[in-house]
Amino acid sequence: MPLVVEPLARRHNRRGFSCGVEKLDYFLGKTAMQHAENGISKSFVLLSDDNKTVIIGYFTLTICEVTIEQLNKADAKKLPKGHPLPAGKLARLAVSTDYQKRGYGKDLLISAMKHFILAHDQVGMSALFVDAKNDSAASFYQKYGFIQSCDDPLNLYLPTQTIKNALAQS
Amino acid sequence: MTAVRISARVSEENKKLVHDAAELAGVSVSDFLTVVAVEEAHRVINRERSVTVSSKYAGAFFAALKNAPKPNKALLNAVKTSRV
Repeated sequence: MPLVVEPLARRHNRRGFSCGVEKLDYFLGKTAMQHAENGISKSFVLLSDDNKTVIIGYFTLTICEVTIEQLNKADAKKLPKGHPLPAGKLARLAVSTDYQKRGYGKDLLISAMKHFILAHDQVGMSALFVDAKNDSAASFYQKYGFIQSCDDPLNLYLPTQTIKNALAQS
Repeated sequence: MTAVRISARVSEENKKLVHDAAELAGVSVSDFLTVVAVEEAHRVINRERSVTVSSKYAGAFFAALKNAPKPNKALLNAVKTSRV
């Protein structure tokens, strides 16, 4: 089944999407299109090339700022003083219940990384952060090298350069 | 500033609860709901727009930006086998 990733558009059946997590369904159905139009975040959908109305899965990218608590003085000198660092945020990623356990999450993650690098190449971002919704989502990201960023094990990141290197080696 | 209405459907039980709490706090139900909702709205939006690397993890974060860890096998494999 040939797959394609497209920016979310009104022609996609976004209200029919169900992944088992109500918040993620609600966002795609009600909020994602408005956010994309207003420049708040961008969502992309994974579709089958044969039937482009059904959404297999989606991800949402946005930017965020990273505040680093109490860095030691030597390291702090090398960073812009007192200003948070720009980073990308993989705010949401979900696969429809009809298509789970078939590796689509992995495809969505790689596609998200490619889009993140496109944005990074234009504006510069230090890392890609992710808000995992639960422990099993967190272990999904950890499997691909994402690193814990604070005491909350659901907040993870991967440095931009690691992502660039991974995409370059294919 | 013109005040506009915002409405929400709640159960009888929750309506009474909110009324009682607003009375205890000595404010109108409208003010009570506004304060609570606005506070929560800021919290939710901040959570999406900002992340904090806590001091315990700051050294590792800084090191990872400076010397990016090599992509692991799972990631390289995911890139190689990606269907998109």
